[in-house]
Amino acid sequence: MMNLKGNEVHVFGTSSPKSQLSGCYSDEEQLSQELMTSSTEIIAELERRVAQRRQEGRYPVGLEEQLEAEFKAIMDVVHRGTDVLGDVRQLLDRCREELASLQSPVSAKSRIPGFGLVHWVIGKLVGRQTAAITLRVRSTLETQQQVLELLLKQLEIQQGTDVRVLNQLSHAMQDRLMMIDALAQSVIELERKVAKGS
Amino acid sequence: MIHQVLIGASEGDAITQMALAVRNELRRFCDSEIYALWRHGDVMKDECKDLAEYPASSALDLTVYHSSIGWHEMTSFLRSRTEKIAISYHNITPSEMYAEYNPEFASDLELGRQDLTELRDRTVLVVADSEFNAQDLTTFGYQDIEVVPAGFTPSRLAHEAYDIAVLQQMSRRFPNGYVVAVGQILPHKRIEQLIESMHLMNSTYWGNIGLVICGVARQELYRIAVSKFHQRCAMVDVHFTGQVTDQQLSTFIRGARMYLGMSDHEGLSIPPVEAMSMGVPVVVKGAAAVPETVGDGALVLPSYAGPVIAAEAIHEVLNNDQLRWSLIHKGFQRARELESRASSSRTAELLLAAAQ
Repeated sequence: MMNLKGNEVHVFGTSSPKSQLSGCYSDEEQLSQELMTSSTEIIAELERRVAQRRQEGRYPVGLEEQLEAEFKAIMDVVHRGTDVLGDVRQLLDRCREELASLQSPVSAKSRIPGFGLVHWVIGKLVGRQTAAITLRVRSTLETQQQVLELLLKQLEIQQGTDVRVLNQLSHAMQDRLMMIDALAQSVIELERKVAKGS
Repeated sequence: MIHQVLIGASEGDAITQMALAVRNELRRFCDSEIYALWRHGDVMKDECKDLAEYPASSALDLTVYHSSIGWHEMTSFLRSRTEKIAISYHNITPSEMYAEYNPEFASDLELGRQDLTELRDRTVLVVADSEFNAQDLTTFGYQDIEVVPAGFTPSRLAHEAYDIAVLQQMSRRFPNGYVVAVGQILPHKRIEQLIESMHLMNSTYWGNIGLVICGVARQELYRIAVSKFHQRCAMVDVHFTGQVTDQQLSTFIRGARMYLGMSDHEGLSIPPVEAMSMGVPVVVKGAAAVPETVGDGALVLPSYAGPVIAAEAIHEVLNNDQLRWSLIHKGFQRARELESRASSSRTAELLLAAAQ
């Protein structure tokens, strides 16, 4: 078989060095012409091989679940990192603004001359009722604010932990790389000494 | 006068291509245009008109609505129409697939389903492009559904000339060849499973085969996640093409050693059939309408297939000459069979009859 460049490439069943290296199955295992009659039969054969390779340990138990979990973890991080924290901050800001606006008194000004007094009188008349409602709304908003503050704090702690864990991992990797580097240097030194000795 | 409406029109998009084919057929008999809320690219600005310019109901015989998702502006537009309405249904992905990571998109999908329910009593004709989609439509109470893959032309790309620059680029990057996949970079297409399958195949069989994914990334966060995941799957080199022209797409497909699809949900699934029409062997996961579309022209994996069995299937197709030739031969046959159905003219006939 030829590739795009026109070079010969390995095909299954030929004894290329790659197939020997990877432990490909032998010619006898190749799907025969008779087996190619339908997708169902081919799939059954492939499933048999997968089961066999699982037994041999070539496909570890839970491999697919592990891959799926890894991708899900990435999706979680990608979505958490960009959305949730920002959204909670935005909600908290809105909550604070609403609380501030509740604390300022309702203006009695009117565009119609002289009607400011009417508004002031109406305000005084319904003040007893609206004051109670305002108090309840304020209390609810304060509770919401506290909940959002706690949530934000928790998310920031979580983010900090993530960063710390990543830093630890990165430092550990750097340490190991340095060790590998040092070992490589030692090997080069040893080779040099062996070369001199011979 | 029969006009078609789309939410978005873009070059290379399957629904837009189908609408264009139907419009060309309709123009032999009457005035016909395509209107869209969004038109991406200069070509689409020439081919389609802005939905804001849509004529009054009194001037029209029939409006054909292509349904695949919901959008508030489209819902308001449809509610305001009084002429006859026909629906061309291309399937709406179940919103549950997006509920966890993209609730806004999930609600758009849900809105699309609500639109279908709302339009039911006002619709004079319903066309589904697969039996699977027709079955889905019955859940909204639709009856007498015509199954025609409107405007589906499997050999659409087969007449394109090779793009030499693409061929050179691919032969340099993937000296042992590559597997191709075509589709938007969206979660239900399971792009991560394509990468996993190739990673496992290469690591188990020392294949060193590349993966080319042709498609536009519609959701940024999913694209980022796929890109990060790819960095962890070290055994496969992946080339994401992004937006491509038809000429580039046909070259990417024809240059491939095989086509792979791992999507969890498809209402029709055009790209594998286009690959078949160009002599590329196809392996696909048999989810939703995929088995119905590809028939026996492809190696259809079970709908529950994961990357391990996909890796085995890829290896087998790449290395078993008899199986590969058999798939190429059957693929050609299947593409020819679908081509011969002349779906555009059949759709035009149905629409003209409904407009009477």
